[in-house]
Amino acid sequence: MKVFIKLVATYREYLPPECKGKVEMDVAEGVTAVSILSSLGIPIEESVVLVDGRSPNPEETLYEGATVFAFPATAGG
Amino acid sequence: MTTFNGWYGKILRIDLTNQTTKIETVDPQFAKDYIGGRGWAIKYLMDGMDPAADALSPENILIFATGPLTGSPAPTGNRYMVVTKSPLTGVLTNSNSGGDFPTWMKRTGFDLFIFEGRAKTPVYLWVNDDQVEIRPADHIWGKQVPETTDIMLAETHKKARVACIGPAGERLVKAAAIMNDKDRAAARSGVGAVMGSKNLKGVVAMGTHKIGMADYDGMQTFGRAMSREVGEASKTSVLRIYGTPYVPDVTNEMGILPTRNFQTGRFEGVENINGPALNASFLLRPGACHRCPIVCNRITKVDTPGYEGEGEGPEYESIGALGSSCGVDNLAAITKANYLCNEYGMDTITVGMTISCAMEMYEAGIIPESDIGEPLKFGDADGMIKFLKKMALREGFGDKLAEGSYALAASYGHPEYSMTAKKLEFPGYDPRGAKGMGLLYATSNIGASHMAGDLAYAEVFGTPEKIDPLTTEHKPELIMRYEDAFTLIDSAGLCVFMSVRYAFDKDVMLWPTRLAKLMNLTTGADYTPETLLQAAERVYNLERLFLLKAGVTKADDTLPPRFLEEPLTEGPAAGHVVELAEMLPKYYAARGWDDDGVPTPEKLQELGLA
Repeated sequence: MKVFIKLVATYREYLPPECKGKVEMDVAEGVTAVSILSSLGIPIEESVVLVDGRSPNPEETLYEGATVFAFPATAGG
Repeated sequence: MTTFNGWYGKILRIDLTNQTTKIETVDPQFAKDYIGGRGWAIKYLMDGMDPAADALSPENILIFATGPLTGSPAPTGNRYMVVTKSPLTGVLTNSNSGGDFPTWMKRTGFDLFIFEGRAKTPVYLWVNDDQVEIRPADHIWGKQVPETTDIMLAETHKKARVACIGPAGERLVKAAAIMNDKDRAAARSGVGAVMGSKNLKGVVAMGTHKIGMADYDGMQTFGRAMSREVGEASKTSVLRIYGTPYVPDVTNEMGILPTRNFQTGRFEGVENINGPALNASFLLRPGACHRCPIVCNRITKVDTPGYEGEGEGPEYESIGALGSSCGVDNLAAITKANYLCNEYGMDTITVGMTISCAMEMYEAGIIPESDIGEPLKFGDADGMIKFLKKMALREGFGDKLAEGSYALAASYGHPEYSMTAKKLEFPGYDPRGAKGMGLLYATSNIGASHMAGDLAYAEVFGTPEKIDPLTTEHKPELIMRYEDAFTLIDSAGLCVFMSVRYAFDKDVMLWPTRLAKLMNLTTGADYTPETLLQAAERVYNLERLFLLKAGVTKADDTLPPRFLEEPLTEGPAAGHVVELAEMLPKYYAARGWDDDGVPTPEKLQELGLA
């Protein structure tokens, strides 16, 4: 199934520059946001991870068309 | 004579009416009980004026307040607070700024400058250690912030630092800021208008005083190690690389980026106004406040024809207010508008939110085109800039804008178009998608300010840990704690960016173990995290008493109907409003206040405020 990965701020560097932080991926059923991001090398413990803008349950599996969004946990704006 | 460490225990009181100054000393027990900075200032404000007085009358008192850690080796010990009654909101304000000026002010050997009365003609204050002069400023009146700063430095000392107002403050524009080091701002609630009402154009400071350290070696070890820790982490941090402009992507994803006066929380032009866009187009280099290891400032230059300029900004809040809230995705125009706010001396949030309020009311047919003189629609970048200038100078329709969004909307019989709490414009987080922020805006002692207890750290940014922004559970207790913790940060003289991450335990309840240690090594006081938080609670409750005496009631602890009745329509917060009626009684109970939001006699007794 297809999911979208959106990485912002310094996490854009985990994808090739031409992606500008965004990529569409074909993934197997049953994967989680955390497993995909970990496979890209993103340090999950230091990250904020959202699925379609909400904070997912860590065990929650992704669904067709979901957007996985991540950035480094940091100070505010 | 008591020896003070961290604090000097000395106040400079300036009577502008009689053009006299005097030095006062501070009781050591008071120093400790009220922490410093914002905490000391509310006590002097409460004791020195009638909270019901007109904010622009000579009866109002204007206080510049450094904290015991301002000028200390603690990382980000470079902040000061401006505390006064706000002419925009009619309640208290405390507005924070960094840069160099606060440290230079601390080097004069005074903790606080207290301005009273009103000068007959424009003046500025020049403080060089104990040498204090009130000088004429007629020749500088009318000038913008950069030129004012240059003239004052030329007339005093080139190594001094300046805090001043621009033309907006002189005209009592209720968005007027007090600018320091040209581009840093104590921005919120119209503090610049209070300065203007006193005919005080600026304050120049320098000195040779150094604060005492109760445990010099201990502070060298602990404070400097903390600085190294912050510095090491910040080398690769988002705040250094992108500054706060990394935030629009985050809030847009969460559906809480203020868009078109908070009609929605998602902006189609977000990729034109985010951190990568700013870095690619206008960023010269990151900049820092005095000795700050975080380096989050944006030093920028715009060459785009029509928007040329150079200076600091924009920060996230400025992008949200002048950009997405006005429907503007032209980053050159937003950056230019930010420069203009700095030059005229205005708060980018109130300016942007007031113009976006006018845009919505124009599009709704409530403000007729004849009043404005031309169309003023969302997305009109040049209109936004044009009316920003008119607002600063009170020209034409700008005179109405200069009163802030609440007065503007109310003057047409529709205050509900003003996105304010206690008449202070909202910062960049739609509270329908961050419920704790909604409770904060409603209860904060200064109105809708994120700086009053920014639970967005946890609800949005995952610091110290990520919590669910859409639930109301635990939010009353959390908001009370964040308000108290931010009171501590403001009173100590530190920056929130450093403090939330490093001065508290890494727990969502922000337990101030490391802050207590910094305070004790510096001042020699024997604070525990408990007594430090109790001191913050004392300060917070005294501020609340000021509000109550100024006429605030439970009815003012609220939000515009948009956030209580109109659910968001897209994004993860679609369908959500702020359940304020559910949270507010629990918040009052957590605070030890009665059902009307009044501190109980028992609570006041406990805090030594009875």
